[in-house]
Amino acid sequence: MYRNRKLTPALLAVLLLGTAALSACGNSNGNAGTSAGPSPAAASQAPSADPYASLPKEISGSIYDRGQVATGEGSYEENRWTKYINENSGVKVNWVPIPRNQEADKFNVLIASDQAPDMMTTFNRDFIVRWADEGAIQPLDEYIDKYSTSYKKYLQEHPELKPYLTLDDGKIYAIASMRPARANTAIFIRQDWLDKLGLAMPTSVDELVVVAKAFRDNDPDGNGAADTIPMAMSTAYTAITDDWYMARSAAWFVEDGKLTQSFFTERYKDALAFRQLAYHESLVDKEFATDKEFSRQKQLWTTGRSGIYFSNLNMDNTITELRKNNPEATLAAVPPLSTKYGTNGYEVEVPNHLLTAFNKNMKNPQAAMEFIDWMLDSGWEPLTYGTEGVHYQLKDSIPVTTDFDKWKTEVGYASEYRLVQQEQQTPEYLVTRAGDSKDDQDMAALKSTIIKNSETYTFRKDLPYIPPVAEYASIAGQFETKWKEINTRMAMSNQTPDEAVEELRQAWNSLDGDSVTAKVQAWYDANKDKLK
Amino acid sequence: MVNRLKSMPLYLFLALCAFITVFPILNILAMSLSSSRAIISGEVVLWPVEITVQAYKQLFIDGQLLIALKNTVIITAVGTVLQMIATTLAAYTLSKRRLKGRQIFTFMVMFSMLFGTGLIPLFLLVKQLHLINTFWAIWLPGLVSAYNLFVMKSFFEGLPAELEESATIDGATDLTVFFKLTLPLSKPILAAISLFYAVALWNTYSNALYFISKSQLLPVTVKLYQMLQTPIDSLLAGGDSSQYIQPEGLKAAAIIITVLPILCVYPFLQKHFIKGVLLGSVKG
Amino acid sequence: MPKTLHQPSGPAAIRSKGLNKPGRGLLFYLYRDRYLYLFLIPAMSYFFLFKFVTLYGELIAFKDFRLLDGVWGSPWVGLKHFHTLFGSSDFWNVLRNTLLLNLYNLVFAFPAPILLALLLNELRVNWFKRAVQNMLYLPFFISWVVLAGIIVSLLSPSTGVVNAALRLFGIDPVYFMTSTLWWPVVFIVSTIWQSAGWGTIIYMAAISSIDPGLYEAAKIDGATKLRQIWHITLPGIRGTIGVLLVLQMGKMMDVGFEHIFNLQNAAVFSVSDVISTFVYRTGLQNAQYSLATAVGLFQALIGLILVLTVNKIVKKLGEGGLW
Repeated sequence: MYRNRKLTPALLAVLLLGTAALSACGNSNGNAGTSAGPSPAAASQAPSADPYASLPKEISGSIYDRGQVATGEGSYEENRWTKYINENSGVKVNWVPIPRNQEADKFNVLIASDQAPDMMTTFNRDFIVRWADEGAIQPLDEYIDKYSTSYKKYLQEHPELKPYLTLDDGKIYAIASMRPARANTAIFIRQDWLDKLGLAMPTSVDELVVVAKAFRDNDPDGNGAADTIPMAMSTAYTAITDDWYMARSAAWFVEDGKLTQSFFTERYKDALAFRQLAYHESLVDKEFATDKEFSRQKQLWTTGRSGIYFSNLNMDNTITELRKNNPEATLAAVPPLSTKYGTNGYEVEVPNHLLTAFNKNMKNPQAAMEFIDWMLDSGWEPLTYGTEGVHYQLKDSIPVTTDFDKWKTEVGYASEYRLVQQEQQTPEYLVTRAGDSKDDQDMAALKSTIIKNSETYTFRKDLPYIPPVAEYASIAGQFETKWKEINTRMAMSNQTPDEAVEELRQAWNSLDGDSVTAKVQAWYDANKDKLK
Repeated sequence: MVNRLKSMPLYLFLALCAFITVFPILNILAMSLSSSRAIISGEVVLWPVEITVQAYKQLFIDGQLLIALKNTVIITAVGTVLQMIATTLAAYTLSKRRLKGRQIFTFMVMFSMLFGTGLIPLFLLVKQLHLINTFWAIWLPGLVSAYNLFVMKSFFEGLPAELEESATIDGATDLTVFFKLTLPLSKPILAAISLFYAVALWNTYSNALYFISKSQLLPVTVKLYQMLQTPIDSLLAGGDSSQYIQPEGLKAAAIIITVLPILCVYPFLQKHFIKGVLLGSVKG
Repeated sequence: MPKTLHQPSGPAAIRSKGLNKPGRGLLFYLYRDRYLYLFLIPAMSYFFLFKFVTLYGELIAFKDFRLLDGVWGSPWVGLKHFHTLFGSSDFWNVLRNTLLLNLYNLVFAFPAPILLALLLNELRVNWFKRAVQNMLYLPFFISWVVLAGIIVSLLSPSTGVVNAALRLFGIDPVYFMTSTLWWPVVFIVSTIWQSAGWGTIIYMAAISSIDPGLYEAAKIDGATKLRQIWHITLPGIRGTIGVLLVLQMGKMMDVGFEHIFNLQNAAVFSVSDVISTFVYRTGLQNAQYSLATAVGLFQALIGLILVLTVNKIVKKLGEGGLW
């Protein structure tokens, strides 16, 4: 009762203050919008004079933070290689670390709060599409044309790169060079275990299952305990098992001219069935579902409790650890395995390596282009091999690593700074480079086999990249949680593949998936010729 | 004597509760001090097996962890003081029923508790206030917790009113009443709430991840999270590799290192809120 | 006797002294309480800046937000995002999980610290009491990233201690973390484990402010321990319980993100996906800011209704409530 009259002025005051601040905020926001406008315009307005000549040659760039910069080396922002770059490229680069596992969040925050670096580098082409759509990055054709010599030439020499850098409007939005090696996933097997149990290298999925069962039952490590979990996973497990059946989860396939999500092909059911079998037969770790970072899996492999590792070209750098626990371990790469659908190769990556986009608000694109040119010409070499005489010796003009441990600590992390490079990892090159370390040599031999395999077998990939269809992008994330859930549950239960696919179908329908499929089909029909 | 016996089950029960609560942490502590062989074969329960401090040695080879720890200490110490000042002052004021506008202010606080700040406006605001890459980006966006404010306010409301009354009659201003009377009486709640804040700051994660991009300024939680996510290759590579430590052991050691400091501070605050400081002085 | 023990606390007395005489202007109160208003400045500027100024961002729930266009420039789309939301079966599932987990929390985790505090208060051996308290507080100092890791390893069917204990009783190991039946239990137990001990602090502080004279008097009257708890301790902390209850209701729509995020895995998404994880995925990871904001707005509205209702009820019951 006492509050009625007296409080009105106070209330009013608060409200007034509130509106004032709101409008103030609106203004500042609007300003940000308009001030952002002129920069691309300015670039196109003044073709004659060099608008950037007077600007300091300083740019910022993102750098993946994988926690690999060791003690004494400094940090991702400042270390011997950032110094080297600043001293030799003629451009000062300020690096902004992006946690590798959280690049989506971190990039989104940086962009949303208008503090994104001038150059944003990612492996994920989806990001480039989204950033362009949000207006966070700008087309690069003009910059490449005007300010670049080396990269311009490189792009002409590698026209196959162009479709991956170009978006729907026909403009180039990212800079990238060719991948050093396009082979990606791989399965490693303990050759010493195969030999010990008198088993042959599997050539089909069925044979792999036989081998795995033998590992499980016949005590290949000879410790007298039935504790072998034959297969260890990594992020690559689902991918590899999908790929056997040419049905990579969430990929689009052209089935009789119609675009279809892998889940709704007959082949996907076989992939589901395999994973269920592996679980129920105890061929994989039964606790994989809670091993979200696959650290337990890695440990199974490095401690010699598993003999088959679903991994990637680099085997997650586990060979040294494995040898420390099992000095006698010898390894082999499992060749592509056949199924009733034929033999599909292991995943072959897109031709482009890291994609670098330019922030729409960047001050000095000319300096950025000069930096890219420098990196492509010569900068990438020390970032790959280290310093001559310290980390490598030249042998037949191939840099041979002299001290692998030293190289790993001092140079290993630097490859991340190579926004563009010209390293080509051919089998011969890898073997020569390896130097004296046995682990290093064995690893190079394994990689050579994998790369050779990737060249002899084809990998079925009907679309070169994820269709840049906004409707699909907006449901893909939600659907991913769904299919991962259904996949995991199915593997651990007695659900039949048909039931699981039915569940996937329902989830897809509830996201209005069919209309998305139609949109993707329309995009495909319109771009079919360009995709070849 | 009879009383003692009767309360035995109570003591046993609480001792059991306490044991169950700390067991997992003791388990981690034991792992951090055990050899990798023992960890993998699952032999470590409560007591370290094949004791070694290798994991700790390796962790500290990485100077980054020490820097991160230092950052976290600064963030926690300064942040707690700032938050306590803002919260205590406001809670005290809002506990005074005679204050005009009290209900509006209180409702505002409550309202703010429900509406989480939108991501975009928060990012833009932090940027416009030039807080990016400073600790202020951690302190300011969480300056006052509505929850703590309400808890404190309800404590102040519970203080005997006669106290203030008699002081006011003696001509004391609000300032005097607050600093000379209320604060000394409120040690338990002050200690409790500062711990609340300190723990939250100690474990601060998201804001640091989003607003701090300089690795020299990152707190230990972000560092720890990176360690837990990616196997600590850089650590494994560095230093002498004669004794190889499993990631699990390293993780355990990293966990212990991040928890230890706050455990050390805690007893100093704790003595304040264990005893009923309050009524003794009121009745005197 | 018990009736007189429970007095409405202080401020009523002040008002009765006539400090709030009718007919005085705003300036009078501003001057009289000048220090108090000064006290409010830091906190209120915070709330104003970070909570109210930023409210304009809620607008994007009704727009198709595009970064380039900003909050004001993006086109209005009315209730489109709400239609998307309410039309998606995912969202209802997420909403159900959020409410269910919170309900469990309210029933099992909310009373836990009260019970613990009452028990702790009965301990007379001081060193023991202190030791127990310290141990109970411990998990609260540890972030969920770490706690979740500990929980997973404790509950592991092959190496976990819990399943080892089950085996002793001849029970087959249970993979708790991936069972949709057990996961909510794990969630609640872990909530209690992490915060029940810590939650006692506030109740202990409230209990410590109860006049010891009341217990003396009750003892003389021959009241048993239970009766003392019922008639003195509980009424003494009723206000605190009320406030915490209202606050808890405010969180009904909000399950701690880090807790869930770190504890969930693909096998139990159907029971563990809640609003906060949903918002994280749509907003921060997929940059669908408008949709994420729409969820947040809906969440806030429900929370507001709940708080207002419960606060009314608490006040009806004779407690102070929040305001």
